[in-house]
Amino acid sequence: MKHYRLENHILYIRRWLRFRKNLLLFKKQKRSALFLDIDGTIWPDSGPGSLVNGKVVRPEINSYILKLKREFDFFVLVTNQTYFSRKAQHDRNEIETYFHNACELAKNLGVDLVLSCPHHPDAQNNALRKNCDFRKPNPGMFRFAIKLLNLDQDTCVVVGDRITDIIASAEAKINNNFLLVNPKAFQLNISKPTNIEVGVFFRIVNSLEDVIYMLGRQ
Amino acid sequence: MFDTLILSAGLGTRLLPLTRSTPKPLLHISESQTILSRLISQFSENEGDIYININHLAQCFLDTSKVGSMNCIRFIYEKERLGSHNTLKLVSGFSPRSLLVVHGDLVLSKNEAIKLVHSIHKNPDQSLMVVHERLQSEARSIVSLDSEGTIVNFREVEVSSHLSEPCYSNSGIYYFSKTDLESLALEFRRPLGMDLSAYVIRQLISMRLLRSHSWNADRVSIDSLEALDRASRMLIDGCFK
Repeated sequence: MKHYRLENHILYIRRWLRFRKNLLLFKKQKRSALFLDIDGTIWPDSGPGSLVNGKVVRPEINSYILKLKREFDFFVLVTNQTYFSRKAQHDRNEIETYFHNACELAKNLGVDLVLSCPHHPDAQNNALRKNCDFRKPNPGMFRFAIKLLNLDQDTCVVVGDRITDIIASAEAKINNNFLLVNPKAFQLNISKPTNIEVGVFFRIVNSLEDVIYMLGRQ
Repeated sequence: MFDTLILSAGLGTRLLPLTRSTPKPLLHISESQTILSRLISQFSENEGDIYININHLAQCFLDTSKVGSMNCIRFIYEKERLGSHNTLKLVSGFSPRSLLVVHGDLVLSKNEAIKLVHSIHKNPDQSLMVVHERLQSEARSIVSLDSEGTIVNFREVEVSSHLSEPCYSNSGIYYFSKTDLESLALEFRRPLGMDLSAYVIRQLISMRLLRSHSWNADRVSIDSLEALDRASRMLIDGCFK
């Protein structure tokens, strides 16, 4: 039986990226990547646990994602997942389902890397109570992907539905950011003060379709 | 080509209680137009980007029916209100072009805005401040020009009811060429909240680099409920063409 480590930030990585010799191939040339948030971006935000409950991406969103990711070398999902930090104890079956669903989602969408942060500074669960650098608005997930895949920040694009997504990517020096319209977009849930002292740049879009249009017009 | 920065992060305290739930630039001046959407439509014909800094009630700016969802619009979310000096520093570091800075509470004549854009295109390396004529008794700032239209002095004043001489006043629109912005080597100033006139304008004036552009048409700065009413009425009456 597989042993899943909840504290691991890599939920999924494409098989051929798992080998060091393959990763070294990217060292010669900087690459581009599309970063998408999960909840509120590829499916509606209905609170914690979307990956455990196994939500399905709607066909039209799926087709937008397929069109979008064609323009990039890599496609990465970055998400805060606090479902387990809200529980005092882990349920082994739920953890297994969580990893399984993440893999299925990645395979269906053609994702190269899924990064998630299960930590929360006020977690009920001791193991997950942490001010983690991977938790957005901290830039850890973006910096990790940039280093792993040797990405050029100028050619990367981030789409999220919260200002915390934008702050995290801006702190990782990605400035091509899109904020999806969402009534909770500016509800800041900052676990620790970020280094962004001044301001972050972004464009507002109503849907992923708008992102395709805007990138086409650039 | 130049980019436009519309200053929209203010608290709008002079328009309370209207601005308790709506930022001033998003107040409606007609059924279909907000102050901001009108400014965007006026300056979007220039092909550069439009930057809008936001802070107070930032969520409201996501309403694309009040702002517009054009490709050229880029928002800057300020975690704390920076003041126009620091916002200019931030945007000039991001944008590779010269910058037209417009206060987000202005209702302007369309033709005069087009004239301004043409004037900038003719002379893109010359920074300028837009001025308009008014009585000293109504002016909050007084701008002195030399015979060639270069600004030689700028001072903010208390409104004084007894001075009835005409003067030039700051219209809240500035154009900064990329060369001048680079030569100023702007730095972030703390405490935050410093406005453009405190350093940028004074520096350019001291170097005799700031030309004036005279605004010869209707323009209302929405600094009171009365001004908002007046702008709405003038719009219905067909002013601001």
